[in-house]
Amino acid sequence: MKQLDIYLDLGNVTGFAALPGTLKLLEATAVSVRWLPISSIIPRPLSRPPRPNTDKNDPAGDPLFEYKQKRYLAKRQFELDELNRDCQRLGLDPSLAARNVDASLTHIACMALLQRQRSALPFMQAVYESRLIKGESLTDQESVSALVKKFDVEDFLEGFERYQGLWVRHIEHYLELGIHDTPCYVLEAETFQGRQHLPLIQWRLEGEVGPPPL
Amino acid sequence: MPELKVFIDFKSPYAYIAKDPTYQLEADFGIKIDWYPLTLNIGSYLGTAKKSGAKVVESNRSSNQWLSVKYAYRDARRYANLRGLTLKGTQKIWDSSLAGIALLWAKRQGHDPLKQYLDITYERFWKRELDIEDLAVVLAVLEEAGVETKGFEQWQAAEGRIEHDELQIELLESGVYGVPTYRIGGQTYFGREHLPRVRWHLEGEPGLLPDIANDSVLSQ
Repeated sequence: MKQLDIYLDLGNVTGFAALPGTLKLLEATAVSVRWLPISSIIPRPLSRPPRPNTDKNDPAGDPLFEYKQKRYLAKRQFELDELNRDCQRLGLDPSLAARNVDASLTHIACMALLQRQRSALPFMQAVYESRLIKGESLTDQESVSALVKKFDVEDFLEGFERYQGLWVRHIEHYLELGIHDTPCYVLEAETFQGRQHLPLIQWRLEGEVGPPPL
Repeated sequence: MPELKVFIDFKSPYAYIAKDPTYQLEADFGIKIDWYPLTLNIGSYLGTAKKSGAKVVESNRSSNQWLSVKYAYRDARRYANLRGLTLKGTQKIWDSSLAGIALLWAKRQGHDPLKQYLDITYERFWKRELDIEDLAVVLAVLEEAGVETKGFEQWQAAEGRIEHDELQIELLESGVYGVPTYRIGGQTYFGREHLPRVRWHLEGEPGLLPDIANDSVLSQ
């Protein structure tokens, strides 16, 4: 059976938005899956304002700054529209879905589950529900510990340094693979960043029968 | 049928691989797409780099920008390979404004010559057989595409350049910042993964807006 690795960033809505399509694909195909955490290096779901490309951070010294600024405003408008479309589809509150919270602790908790050879998916779904529906942040050790305890990880606080070490090694590993955005799918060493690739992944998993999705 | 505007840049591999799935809309819905050039300033958001052979000889890209650029080429190439398209790596960031101005010129002369011009330019540019910064080369492509070229040389340096440059500001200010971008039914969609949504508009917006997906299948 083929192996599909699925990387989700628990700090923003982008990975969550991919879940319905991804779960549908998994229902339709026979594949072994690993759910893994990732801290996306691309700000999601909304970009950050541009910075001048000068030592003193001075816009006057950057001839492209005006262009960058205009491009940023155009991109941000598109991202907001896209966020609203996703929220409508997923039944989410845009003000909660627009947040990008530090997900490091919840990612470290995923490592505790993975070390026990357990699927991280139910925990990931619980984190998304807390952040995107209940509006919680889960950015302190105690609240993350309480949540992961529900998934039978009793030693999150005691074993924190060990799990943190696993997380650091995990980051090094996925960056070596060139993975930097969420959601990311890895099938037979090929990386696919973004849920738009699900039709191609499915086509590959089903033996590349018929015309390829483009 | 709602009007569909599509914004492209010849130096974007993503715009290249979107071209034929976008043409498919014309065949499926009997529409004529209104094409526009959006000349990207890639260096402003992805840094710049120059290669000599396989070696990078000049670069101000951050490691994150390199990750994004390398992934984008790999990603575009896998879809190009599925269709037998050649997508060679680039040696520098090209100034595609002249080719964009020529698009505006070709557009005035009819839909078929314009599509011929798009086809020839994209295919040869990505095979690295076309210098899109060279006026003589662009003129030759226009002629080959069946576009009348009398007056182009003067126009591209004067009114054509002004029209192109003003268009760039107007597009950016109206929310078009990347390619391919589709504008239909009052919505702006960046990326060919939005083609299912463009189709949904063309079909009269039945049911819910579909999710994004690279799932266009060409009829040929």
